[in-house]
Amino acid sequence: MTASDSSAADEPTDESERGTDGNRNGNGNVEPATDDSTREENVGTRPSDRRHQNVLERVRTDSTVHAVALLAAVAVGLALSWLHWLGLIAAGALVGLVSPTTKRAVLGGLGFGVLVLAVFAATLGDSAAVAAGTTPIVYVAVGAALGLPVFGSLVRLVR
Amino acid sequence: MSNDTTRRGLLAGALAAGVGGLTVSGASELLESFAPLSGSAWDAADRELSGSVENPYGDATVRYDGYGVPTIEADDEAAAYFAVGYVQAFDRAFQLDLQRRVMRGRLSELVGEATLEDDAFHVAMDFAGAAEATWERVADAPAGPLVEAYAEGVTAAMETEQLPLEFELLGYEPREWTPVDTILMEKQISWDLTGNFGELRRAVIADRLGEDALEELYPERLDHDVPILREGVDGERLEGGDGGGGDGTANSRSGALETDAVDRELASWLSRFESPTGVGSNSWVVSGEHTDGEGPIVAYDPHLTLMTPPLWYEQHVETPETSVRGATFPGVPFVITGANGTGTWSFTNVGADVLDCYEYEMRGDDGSSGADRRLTSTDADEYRYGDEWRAFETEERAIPVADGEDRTFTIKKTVHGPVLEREGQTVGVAWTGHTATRTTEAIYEFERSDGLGDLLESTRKFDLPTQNLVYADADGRTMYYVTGKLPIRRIDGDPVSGNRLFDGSAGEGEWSGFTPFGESSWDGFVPFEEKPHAIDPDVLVTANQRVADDPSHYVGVAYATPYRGARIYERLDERLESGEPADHDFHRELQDDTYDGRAAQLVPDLVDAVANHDGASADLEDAADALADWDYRMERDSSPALVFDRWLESFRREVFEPAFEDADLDESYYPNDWVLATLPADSDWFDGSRAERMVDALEAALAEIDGERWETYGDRNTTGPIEHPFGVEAPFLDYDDRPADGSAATVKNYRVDSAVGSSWRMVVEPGGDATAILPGGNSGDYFSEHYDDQFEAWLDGEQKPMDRSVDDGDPDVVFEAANVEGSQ
Repeated sequence: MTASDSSAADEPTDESERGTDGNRNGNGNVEPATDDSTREENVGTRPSDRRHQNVLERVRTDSTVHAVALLAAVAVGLALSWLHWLGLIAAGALVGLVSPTTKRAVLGGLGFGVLVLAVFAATLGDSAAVAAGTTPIVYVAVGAALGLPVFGSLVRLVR
Repeated sequence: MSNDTTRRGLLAGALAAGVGGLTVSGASELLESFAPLSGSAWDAADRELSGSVENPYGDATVRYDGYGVPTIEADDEAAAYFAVGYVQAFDRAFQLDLQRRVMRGRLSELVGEATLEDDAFHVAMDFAGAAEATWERVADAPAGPLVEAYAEGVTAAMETEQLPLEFELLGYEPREWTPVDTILMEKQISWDLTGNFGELRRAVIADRLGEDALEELYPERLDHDVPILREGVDGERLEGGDGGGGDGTANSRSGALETDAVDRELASWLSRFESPTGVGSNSWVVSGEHTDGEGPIVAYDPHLTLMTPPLWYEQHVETPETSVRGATFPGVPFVITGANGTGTWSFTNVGADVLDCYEYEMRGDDGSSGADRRLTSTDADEYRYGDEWRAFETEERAIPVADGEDRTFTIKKTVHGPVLEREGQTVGVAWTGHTATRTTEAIYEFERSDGLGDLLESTRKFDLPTQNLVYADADGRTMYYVTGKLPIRRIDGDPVSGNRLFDGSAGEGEWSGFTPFGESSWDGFVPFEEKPHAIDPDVLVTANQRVADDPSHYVGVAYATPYRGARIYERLDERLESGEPADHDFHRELQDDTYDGRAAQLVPDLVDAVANHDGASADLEDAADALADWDYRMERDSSPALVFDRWLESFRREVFEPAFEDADLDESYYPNDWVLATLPADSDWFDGSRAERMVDALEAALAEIDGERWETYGDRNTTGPIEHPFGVEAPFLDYDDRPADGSAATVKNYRVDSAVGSSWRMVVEPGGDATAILPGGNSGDYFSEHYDDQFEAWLDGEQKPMDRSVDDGDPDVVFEAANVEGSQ
């Protein structure tokens, strides 16, 4: 987990985001967003959807739950990334979904990419330095590691 | 539906489209190969040879030294060679597969239509058929079962171990390795050394420039006095042979052209598949009388194609039968050049003529075309042979093409060999490699030889290629022998040279005792005892120069210019006359010699020409002054060397381009530098004034240097051309681009234009010290530390130990005998 991921769970600092996605309560946590679009969604959706929505909101706003969810997202994301490159997108989406704001989602996706590169280098062992010289193919690896999770994290814009 | 819902829907759609686009586009393939964690290419980044391997032939161990050279140890030879195959495949799997693809005409299956013509040539020549005929013979020899064990080892490694990066990049897996594939490697190196269509080029030149120009610019014998068997080379001759004394029959009839002119298209096309320009080598031997140790010393550096990874692979094999270390070609189980406990052996190319071309009268099977020579092999069904019309022997062969339509190629053969056709011109080709040869047996026996007598007997089986074998043993014996079969051609009963086109329909110049794609008796070839040789020479140098001034039989005309041979003989003579021992360091230093004899021939005249030139610019005078003070050494940090290099190319062009261009002949047809340097000053080729051409060339050279912003020779003479086969697509696979010493004419040989140079250097005292170096590293695995760990040392003329000791440490790989059910 990266620094940006952990801070995302605890303390949004952007006032405009706070106004859009949630409000800080007396305990310092962030309450569910109450902007017009969310209200409209709640009005027009079924109870089960609203339950899911509530769970997602809690994951995004409760720091403890968020941390656990983020860890789980990273773990699952890494496992998926090991299996297929689409796993990088899926990982980014998971990280994005649990992020309180879109900006945090993108930063989370980027952080996940950095983590992937670190794990990738570790798996290569002594060959990591040599692999760094394999231009242009190493550009694909670095680009995929950073770009695909960020792309996946944009799912935060949808939900 | 609200705006927000629409926005979200659109976003979701865009994301889904993005994922879909990545999945179905070309990006998907890239990501499957190179994505972090899941990309298949990265599997090749952490390859590690298995510590324990099952061996159907018995126990063996492998220990790698600090340069990645394996020592294979076993009590059973077959077990050892299974392990040799295994480690060669681990270290060079892609090179193995690529080479056999080239020889089998299966490159297009990998890379598509771009290599279709290459494949068509190799299929037409039916190298695979020649290898099969050879294997049928070798299989029953003592070396046969070892070749089989080796092939099984290669296949086992390819199937068991992680394949190297190239396979992941190309997305394929190699097929099973067979003994015939190994024999194909023998054919490949033999073709690279002796595949020469010089007679076709001579015919083109005679047609375009005239017979006089042919004789002046392409003399059959260069005017120098340093043949290999030069005057003063002592040594005994075998009974029945004179080893080069000459009986006057070698060139009893010259190569005058009596057949139709050859089309340039055919000659140019075939020249693409000949030996690369500059292929040659240095080797010399000095008897123990002149060294500081007990025995003689052999120094050897073959000048072959430089590439990534190197052409050669170093290995060390220890069995009860032998202890041998040296270099081999990946795909070949036995050490080709190296040393055992008794002796050391090396090979340089002779330049012998072992390939002839024949023309025929041809017709369709209905006889409708009559005796139309212009009918191609593609269309013709029959050729006249003597008094009868014979049908071509034909065979259909498929050429698979990646991302394209597979092709079917019809191989046609006559009694002489395969038929090649281009632009309406057709020739039949006879090459000594097109029959069953015993070279693999000979090399195997070299490994086990115990002195000169053994080696000499085994040399009788060395049917191909024609090489200058230089040998020395721990008993102080030395030897020089021309290996390979030398054809004798006759017309009307008289011996003739082979640098001409023969009338195949009339049976001209046929090789008696030669059966293409079968087993030959060789009874019409030069007897072994009559081939050039010297037993126990005191000092002898081979650098691809003429073998002897007056050989008993015609050998060939494709000899190298004498610059290297003359320089080595000169240095050795000086050393011996000085009384200083010619020790290991001296030989290694001589291999690193960068003196260019062409400069010694030409630069004084060039300097004079500038001095006598009216109105010479300051730049010209400065360049001439620098050349006047120069020591003629082609070293990377030398400015005069750069000027000379560019001047020589410009001078060559100044002299030959006008006439050759008019005759539609490109620079590949230009004569060699010895001819250029020795043309008389009043020759018509100088178009009035040799001095003026020299000055003009210097002006052009200085302009080129200025334009390119070069400052020293190393700015132009770099290792950049030493490429990996996929260096264009994946440039990281190439070795570093570094400034290099040496030229085409220096002992330290490097030809930047053709990427040919010292492909292996070794200095060996039989039974004593030995050193060697590769131009790169012993591993072909890009991620291995031994991929390029010898490259810098090679550039600097250094060598590493090549000893035959065995470490006591734990083996890197233990080969364990397979159980009974699994054994063969």
